[in-house]
Parts: sequence; structure tokens; C-alpha cells
Amino acid sequence: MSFAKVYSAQVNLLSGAIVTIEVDLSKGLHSFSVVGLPDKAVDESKDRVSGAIKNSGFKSPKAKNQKIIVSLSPADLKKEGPFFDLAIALSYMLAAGDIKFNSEKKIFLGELGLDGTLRRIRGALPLAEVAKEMGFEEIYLPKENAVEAALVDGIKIFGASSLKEVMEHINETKTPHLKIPIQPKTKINYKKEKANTDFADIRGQEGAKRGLDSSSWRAQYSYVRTAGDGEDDAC
Amino acid sequence: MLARAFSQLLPDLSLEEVLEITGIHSVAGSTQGELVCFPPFRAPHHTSSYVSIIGGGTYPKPGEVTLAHKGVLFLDEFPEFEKRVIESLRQPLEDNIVSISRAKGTAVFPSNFILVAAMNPCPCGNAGSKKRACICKPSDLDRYKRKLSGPIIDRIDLWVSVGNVDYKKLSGEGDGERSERIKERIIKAREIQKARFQKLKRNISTNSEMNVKDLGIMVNLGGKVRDMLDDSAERLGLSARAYHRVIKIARTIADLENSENVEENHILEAIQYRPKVNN
Repeated sequence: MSFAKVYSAQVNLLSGAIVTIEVDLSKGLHSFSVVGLPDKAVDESKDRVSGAIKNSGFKSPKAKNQKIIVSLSPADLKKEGPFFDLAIALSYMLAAGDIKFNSEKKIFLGELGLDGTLRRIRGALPLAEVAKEMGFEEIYLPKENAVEAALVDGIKIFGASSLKEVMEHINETKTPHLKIPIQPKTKINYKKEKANTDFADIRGQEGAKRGLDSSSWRAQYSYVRTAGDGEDDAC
Repeated sequence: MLARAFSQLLPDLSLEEVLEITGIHSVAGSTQGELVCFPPFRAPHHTSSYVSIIGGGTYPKPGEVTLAHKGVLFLDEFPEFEKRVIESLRQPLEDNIVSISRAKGTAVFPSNFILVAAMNPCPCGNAGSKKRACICKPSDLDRYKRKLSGPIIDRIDLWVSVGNVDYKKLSGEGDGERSERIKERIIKAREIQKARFQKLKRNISTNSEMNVKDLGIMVNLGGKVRDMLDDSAERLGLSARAYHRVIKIARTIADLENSENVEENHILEAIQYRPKVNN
């Protein structure tokens, strides 16, 4: 197979946008290009992906004479940041026949290190929400982001620590495969160590305290300091 | 320190709020993958740029007002901020959102925060002091005053001057009310408010969100109380906005004291939080 399609997502304003990643391999002198309005961080993922694949025990995309085109769509959305490394790597390996898996209904997120480790991304929670809305069933992302993403109900979250782990989990040709456990739903824990600044520790300033007390109704509030004192003295 | 202690008085965030706030902070990259379960406290430095406070960029990104959503935005040395930054707080303070339009797109970010600001009475900091003399030139005082425009002053509901503290008090034991007790009182007041809004089928949760129509229905001022309020408003030259805000604050004070009706003393306390000087 010389073509593959894998899904990923990126942050867009405060929400997320699904990005389809397609890889096409064809014969010819070596070239590796990323199209679809990539910014510098996305363009540089070529090198990270190559290194990560090589150091995960497969042949580097750069070691073969072939034309590689990675297309990120929708083509008019500016692609920013390192969200797509994992998806590009898997997409390439799928196209090259290194691994085999069904890429439908799966989202892959994460930045790759040259040794294949997965690094934290930002916006995991809104991305998981968008993925669920768009009908995706599984998300693979860096371990550090799994807790946050698992706040979202109704979608399976897999937190992985390396490219190798994800490959072994999804690869259908190799048995038995190592399975990544599904991240349990995150529960909110309000327990907090004792507040470090307590009103009782602030001496004097009763008027200011009373004002702050009344302002806890989500009003806008200000206090005016007088005569070179203020908080430093009040502490 | 007061401002930070204040942010810890706010009730914990609900599940939907945790989802929303964690999402915002996650996108902005200000978390390390943990959840935001408590109202955020943001205290940007007074040299912060306009874009960092309001949000912006070629591809719009949220600023501090959005990161402080459902929490506290503390602006220390308020008049030292750029004039443009101070003035741009008008929309978020009034509408609780901030809309940013750029060539490559428009974004509407939520920004429902409590603004806590602190300032000195004058550039040298000694005006009004009994012990030290103010050495500011009249022109400096004028410039300092003009930094805060009328509309911004109008939007700030509670003004409190913070005087010098006795040295004796500083070295004494802290014997004020503990934050936990104050928090309990606030949560109770919020519940009273919520119950009132539910009874009238309004989808709001705090007094500050009441509109003028709600005020008419939900806040019953007795004839005497209303006369007194109108009289004070006339004398102080309150704007329509300030007038309604005084009523909302009085309602909140009454809720905190678990009082069914807004009484005279509640209105009086609310009025004394209005700024003493208007420029």
C-alpha cells in the first residue's frame, strides 16, 4: 500500500479542529514534503518523525529513495504546533506497510521525541470533546494528557508513553500485542491543602475585608490604598 | 495578599465549570495536564501588553481576562497599566465576554471574572497620610487621576480605602475571622440567590447577572428605602449603571446577612462603597 489516512486534531481558538493526515508514497528521488499550511513546528516534524521511526526499530523514511507527500486537511486551516507527530509517523508506517491497522474512528495526538517518546501537548481536553462530538471512538495521546482528556465521557482514552507502545497496541499483524489500558474516567477531587493565605492572618484592614466579603458576588471591585502602606504592611 | 486570600473565598467550581476552565487553561498551555478545580487567580504585572491581557494575535489567542474566567483578575498598581489596557477592560467588565477581530478570524472568548485592583492615592503614595507629606506636583496628581476614566470608575462597584495599620496590631495575633467561615457564609448567600432565581425561572446564578427587569421583580425596596436611595443617588450624581449596581450590592449584602428584604442599612453600606472622588 502506498497511501494511508489517519486522523488527528489541533487546537483552534478555545476549541479544536479535526485534521486528516494523508500520506502518499511514490517512486522517485528522495523527497519529503508536508502540505496544507504547516507552520515551522509542523514542518520540522519530518525530522522528529524520521528519528522516532528509526529508533523504534523500523526503517527511517529518509533511508529509502522515495517521494513522500504528507497532506494535512482541511487545507485552508493553518496547522500549528506539534500535535501531528504521532499521526504522521503512524500514517507513514501504514503507507509503507510496516504496520497494519484500521485507522477509522481513531484520533492520534502527540509530539514525538527522536527516541520515539511521546511528549505532552496542550489542549487535550477540548480536543477530546471535539473528537467525541465528531463521532470518534478512540483517542491515543501522551500519558501526561490522559487524566485531563478522560474528563470527557463516552470516548476511549489511551495514554501512551512512546510511539512503540501505540504501534504494538494497534498493530493487527503481530500477536500477541501489548495492550494499553483504557484511562479510567477522571473524578474531580476538591481536596486541597489548607489555604496558605487566610483572612485571619491579615491584621487590621477590617474595611477592606468587609468589602471583599461583599464583592464575592462576581461584581467588579477595587480598593484604594492610602498613605504608602497597603498589602505589605497588612501581611 | 488580600486579593489572593479573596480568591480562596470563592465557592469551588462545578463540574461544567471545571470542564470549561480546564479547557481554557489547557489550550493556553498554563497547566501541566492537571485539572483546574478552583477559581483561577491571575495577577499580571502592570507592564503587561494589551494583547497579553485582552487576547489577540494574528490567530486570536486568549489573554489574561479569559484565563481569569470564573476567577479573580488582580491588577496591582492599577493606574500604572497602559491607558489602552485599562480602557479595553470595558467590554469584559460589562458583557463578560471579549470579542477579538483580526484579519484571519474573529474570536469571542468568555471573560466573566472579578476584577480586584489596587492603587496608591498618588504617585508618591503619601497623599492622605497623617505621618508623611505628599510631594507630588499638581500636574502629576492630575495625570495620575486621569489615568482612570469615568466609565471605568463607574464599572467598579466597591471602593475601599485601606489605611495604615497600627504597629501594635501588626505584631499581635491574627484574630480575625477565618477564611473557611467567611466562605461558608458566601456559599450560603449564593444558595439563597440561586433559590430566588430558580423560583422565577431565570437561568442565572449570581446577583451581578440580574438585568434591570430582574431588579424590578426580585428586589423589593420599601417606600422609605427607595426614597432614601433616590435622594442619595441625586446627591452623589450616580449614573444609571451605578444606581442599578448599588441596588445589586445592597441585595447581596442582605443575602449575606440572610435578610429577606433589602433594608436601609444595606443600601447605605452599598452606597458608601461608591468612589469618593469623581473626576
